[in-house]
Amino acid sequence: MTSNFISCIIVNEIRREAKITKIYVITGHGGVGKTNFSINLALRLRNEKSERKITVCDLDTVNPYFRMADFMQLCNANRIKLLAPRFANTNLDIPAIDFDMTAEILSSDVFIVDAGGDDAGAAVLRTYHEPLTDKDTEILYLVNFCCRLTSDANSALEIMREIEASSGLRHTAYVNNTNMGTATTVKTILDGLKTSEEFAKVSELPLFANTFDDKINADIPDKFPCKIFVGPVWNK
Amino acid sequence: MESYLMKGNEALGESAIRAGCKCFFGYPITPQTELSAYMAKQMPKRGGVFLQAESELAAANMLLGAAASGVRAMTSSSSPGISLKTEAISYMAGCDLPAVIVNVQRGGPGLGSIQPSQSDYFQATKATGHGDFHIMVYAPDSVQEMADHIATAFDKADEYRIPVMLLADGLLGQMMEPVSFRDTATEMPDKFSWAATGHKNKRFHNIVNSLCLDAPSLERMVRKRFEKYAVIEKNEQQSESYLCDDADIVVTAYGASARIAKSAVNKARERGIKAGLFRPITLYPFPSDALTEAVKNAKVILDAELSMGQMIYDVRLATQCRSPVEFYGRTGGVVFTPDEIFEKLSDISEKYL
Repeated sequence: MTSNFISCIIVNEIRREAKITKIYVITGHGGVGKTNFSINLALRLRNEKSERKITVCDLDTVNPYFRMADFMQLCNANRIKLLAPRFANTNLDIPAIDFDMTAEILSSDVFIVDAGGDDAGAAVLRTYHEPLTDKDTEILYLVNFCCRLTSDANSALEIMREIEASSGLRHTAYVNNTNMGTATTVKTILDGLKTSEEFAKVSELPLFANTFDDKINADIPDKFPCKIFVGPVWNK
Repeated sequence: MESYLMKGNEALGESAIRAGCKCFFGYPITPQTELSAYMAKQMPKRGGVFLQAESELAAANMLLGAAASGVRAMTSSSSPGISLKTEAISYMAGCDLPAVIVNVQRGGPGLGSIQPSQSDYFQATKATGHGDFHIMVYAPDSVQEMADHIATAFDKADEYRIPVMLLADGLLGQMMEPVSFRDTATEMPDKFSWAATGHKNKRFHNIVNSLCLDAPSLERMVRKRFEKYAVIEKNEQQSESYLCDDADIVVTAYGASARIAKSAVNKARERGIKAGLFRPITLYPFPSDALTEAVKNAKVILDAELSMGQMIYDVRLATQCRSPVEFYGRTGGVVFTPDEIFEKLSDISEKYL
């Protein structure tokens, strides 16, 4: 334990000095689109700069469905390193993580953590508080104001506080991913912007981006159109 | 009506609460855990009770107790957990108790896998425990139907005093889709005449029990229950027929399989193959009448299931083997794609048409 703790401190010191890793941690209510956003973020960062080492980390230890580990081929094709619990998508899907998070962070230029849903899914983040936090780390709360439990600013804030209490992390910004799945219209997105403004007030957090299906043509500020990768087989 | 984007498991929980479910007895198992988690957070805020039991056996027997005391109650699990609950389900059937059981199926047998499956069809429709009895079984194919049918399940359970199962699968439980909830509150039936609610000196005390020591009177009770089943079989069949009228090939599929099959049917139509889809919504009672109608012009039926073939026996029985019934299935948690079904439709088209 002690040596691990010391190595964490050393690594953080090295990284702080050299500013070598940009970390993004993506949290949110279950089913809000964390995995889809994480892939899109990784792809965008890949397109910006082709030589950087990008790692996405599937840290979902609570739900075996619709997870980052499903996208191994896509990640390989884009030279994105995918880290996932060893038994992800097997019948032994147990909450065991067998990689050295600190070393993996240190060897990446960009490190994206796709956390599990809600407070239960975010609990594991607490274990990695030391290597994950840094003054440059973006802890992003992804929110869809069409979800029943996050349908208004205050309930979205409540879920966010539960995640913070369980993970020990404080969010640095939020991502507005308001959508109705395949039934999303421009109106859905525009209605989401209104709730998003209220959320910015009550949470006192800056907006990181407004994300939506790139097949929809919405002309809004801070937009980050995303390709939809995650969904059932009949949508593909 | 407001709509939300929700996970199937969450929609089940929300709709159950709106339908007047006052007690939920859970025990965690993938892939239905979000339902328990939702109830754990919501029930105390909304005048209900959430209880995580020490086992599935306990949860199912708590359901029996709550139902016997006249409240709307529910339990949920996934395949291996349902096996543990079947003893209590048989007792509830023997007590004529209205109760709702959710099965979000995963691969089996045994501990099996945690991926979606439909291999509990036999268990749900033929033998959810020992004895001469049936339970009603609803098979939703979308998050919206998860919400709609759980509300219907509570109504039908009360109407017929029968355990009702909602048979979903991991895919339906985990996926996100828009859903709206019916806003009309259900009128709760008066259960004073039979439930153990306290007699208030207005009647003899009620006994809710499935034990009957005298064989002829047990036979009478079972026969009476089967009169009820006859009414259910006549009145409660539900199904969806999609492009069946002129179809040469009718695909029979339920739940998530039906969603996949529908994509395949659409693709087949684009390629000039006259395919249709028949989707049972109630598995018991099996919608034999509508199936007979849907396949009247079909030259062949393709039964598609995420199992080695279980509903296929009901399809053959209902159609009395008038046309050949082909089968395509994946099992163990493997989910077929629309293209796999389309390939099978192409092969069948060449073979029969």
